Amino acid sequence: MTRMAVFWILIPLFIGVLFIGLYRNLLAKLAVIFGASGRFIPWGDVDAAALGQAYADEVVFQRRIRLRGRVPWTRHILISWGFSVLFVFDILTALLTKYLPSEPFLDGNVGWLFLKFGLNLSGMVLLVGLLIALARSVTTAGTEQARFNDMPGTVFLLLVVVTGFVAQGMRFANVPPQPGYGWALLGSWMGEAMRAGAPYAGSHAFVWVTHALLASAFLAYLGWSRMIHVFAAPLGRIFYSQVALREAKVRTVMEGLLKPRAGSR
Amino acid sequence: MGTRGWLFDIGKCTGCHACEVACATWNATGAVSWRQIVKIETGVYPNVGTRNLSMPCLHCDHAPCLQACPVAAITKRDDGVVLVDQAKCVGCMFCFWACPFGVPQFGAEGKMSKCTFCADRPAELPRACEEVCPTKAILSGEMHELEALAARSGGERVGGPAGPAMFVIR
Repeated sequence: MTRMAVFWILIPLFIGVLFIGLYRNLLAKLAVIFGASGRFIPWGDVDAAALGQAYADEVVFQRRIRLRGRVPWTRHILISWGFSVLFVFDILTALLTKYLPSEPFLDGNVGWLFLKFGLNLSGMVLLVGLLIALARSVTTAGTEQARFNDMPGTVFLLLVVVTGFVAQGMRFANVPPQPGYGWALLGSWMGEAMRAGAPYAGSHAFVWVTHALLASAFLAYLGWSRMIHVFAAPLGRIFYSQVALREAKVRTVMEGLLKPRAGSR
Repeated sequence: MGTRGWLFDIGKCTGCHACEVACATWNATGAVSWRQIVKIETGVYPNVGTRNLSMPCLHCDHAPCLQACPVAAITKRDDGVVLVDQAKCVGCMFCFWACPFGVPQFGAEGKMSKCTFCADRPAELPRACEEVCPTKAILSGEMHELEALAARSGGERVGGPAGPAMFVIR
């Protein structure tokens, strides 16, 4: 079986594992919540402004983490935004280069450079955040604080990012510098640094496939680890902005505790 | 050891908040309160009144918080006490939404926390809230003992599919 055959078998498998994880650890949990409360608030009672504010506070600016300190906030915002933007650019690149009629966008190199710049900038942002997280894991090893670190998640994502940059550096090193290639930032700097060892024919393919498999495996890991907070935390916290929902929940329960059950006494 | 729970006498509670303070002090809960006094207005004018409910975690038999946690950070001990492992918690608040009583609290450190039944307190001692209650409205103990006590005073177990481990004397 060729390396690419393994690749095309494993990628859908990992994506399937992600969806099973999301079903078991997110959708099934939400079903427990709605089953336990059995309560929604009418559309008219939804506080849209509070929803928007909660989204801005919890997801965009992550102000709650900022209250805990500058370093945790910097680390988290670099990782979350770096990962999110990188993911969007990855999907965009795949769609534009493989599936959508995109010649007008990619022609003349401007669109292509935009994609490369976005991928590399977000990748670098993610890399810096992960290095801060790794430094924290190393410096707090053996302490009580270490229980709170997500070392496996950090190392896993770091491997994805590093193999991505190495694969890109090898690819750049294999060919003469192209116009505008400096827009690839770290990728182009690595390409220059690695040029002396070029060409990387077989090793580039190996690193690229490794990167793609790791990236897909990481997506699968998202649904089965603490990384599921990527989906769960924004959901739960944005709901919390709905005062009517919170008050209705508590009031019904408390009033229920005061009332004798039907048939008793 | 059997499962443990609460007996709460609504008629005795004066809403003095001593239980809240004792809980916060013993457990160093910081900005959150693991036990909360809720005041409920009752009756219809002119026959109105206020009743106080001191609400801890009810350590349910089939704890929905445990079932809703996406990272298995919530566990139930053999004695029925439901605990949150803060090292695993991701602060998604699913437990708050799943809990029929809205008990789990979201702390400043981004983790959920709730009543541990004073996990670090010797079992033979009363819980911190129970110890300070001036009217003895709060009682903790093994469920079969509490059931007998509640039956003598006309109390009954709090209903619901989750099976809250609390008897109430109304």
